[in-house]
Amino acid sequence: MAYDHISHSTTGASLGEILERVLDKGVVIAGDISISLVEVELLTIKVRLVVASVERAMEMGIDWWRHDPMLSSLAAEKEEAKDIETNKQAKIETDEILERLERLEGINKKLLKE
Amino acid sequence: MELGYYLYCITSENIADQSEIKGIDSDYRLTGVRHEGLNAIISPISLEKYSEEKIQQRVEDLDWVKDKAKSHMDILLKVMESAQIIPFRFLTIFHKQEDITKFLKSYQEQLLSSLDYLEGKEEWSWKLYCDKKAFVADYVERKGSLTSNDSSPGANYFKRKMMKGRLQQKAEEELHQLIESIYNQLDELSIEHKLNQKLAQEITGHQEEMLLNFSLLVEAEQKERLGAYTKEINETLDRNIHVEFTGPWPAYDYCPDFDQEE
Repeated sequence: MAYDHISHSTTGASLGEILERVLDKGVVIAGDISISLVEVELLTIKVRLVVASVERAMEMGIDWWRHDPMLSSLAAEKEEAKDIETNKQAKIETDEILERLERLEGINKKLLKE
Repeated sequence: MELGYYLYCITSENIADQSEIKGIDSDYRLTGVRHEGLNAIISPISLEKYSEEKIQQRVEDLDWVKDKAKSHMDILLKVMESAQIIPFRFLTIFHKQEDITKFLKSYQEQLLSSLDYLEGKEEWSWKLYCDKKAFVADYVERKGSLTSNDSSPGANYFKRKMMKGRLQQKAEEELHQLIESIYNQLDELSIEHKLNQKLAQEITGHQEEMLLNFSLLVEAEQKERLGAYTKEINETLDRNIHVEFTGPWPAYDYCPDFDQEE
């Protein structure tokens, strides 16, 4: 079943959709009654599949979402406090630079007039 | 020739005949192993072609894996048309058919209650993609035009630079807020949800990054509402964000986890 252009049905599903399920999930049977070495061997492919995405997740900074919302809001507060401090610093620096810039431009104007 | 038995999924006993469908080893067709209300969907495979040794070599070949993984999924989707299923991991192969019956016996209660729980529910995938760079750029452009122009040219240039940095940070914050509200909505519109690992761009084939990869267990009415919600996001939220809502999938994220330590 599909919702117009938004989604496509499972027929003609992308390879990613298939591999993320069948390689990684589903009921697993103990090795003594079935061929089970596969799990180990498939690891290489699994690694190829997801390694890039894990690195990207960290980069993105969206990893906090994996944790409890409670914890993530605490982390956000801490970040915010840090941000305010950094912003304060930056504001002081900016004001100083702006002042110097205005002064230099004033001098420049005067020089041009002379 | 020696045969093994590939197990695809377990269903309840009331299921249409599947014997027309070809198995992973296309020389054989699907058949069922029944035990008191349960039906294991299997197909014989030649152990010559699928010995441990052969499989070891073949899983090195990504094309082979792709092809067989697709067959595995296609078979599950086909069986799902007539019954609720508990899906098994790719390449689950038994040496003896009796062992499948033994397995059904040992876990009968869990399998039955799992099938019972899944009845009337479907697993759907909800993946959000975002062109983050474009999202930030659009945001900066939208808000940046509000900057005043009352200082000297140099100071204005400098102020715009500073403003841009601040707006970029704000854009990130806005994205996080969006994600939080989306999360709350999905939570409300599903019986269960699971946030899966994001997939690499090489696998998804999308230019945009995958930001969210949800698996949702839903009932019919929730599915309709999710469809509408997804449509709303795609049409009105932001041109740099789009969602793919696909299903129904085999309930891979909601199947039982058997403790086989004993």
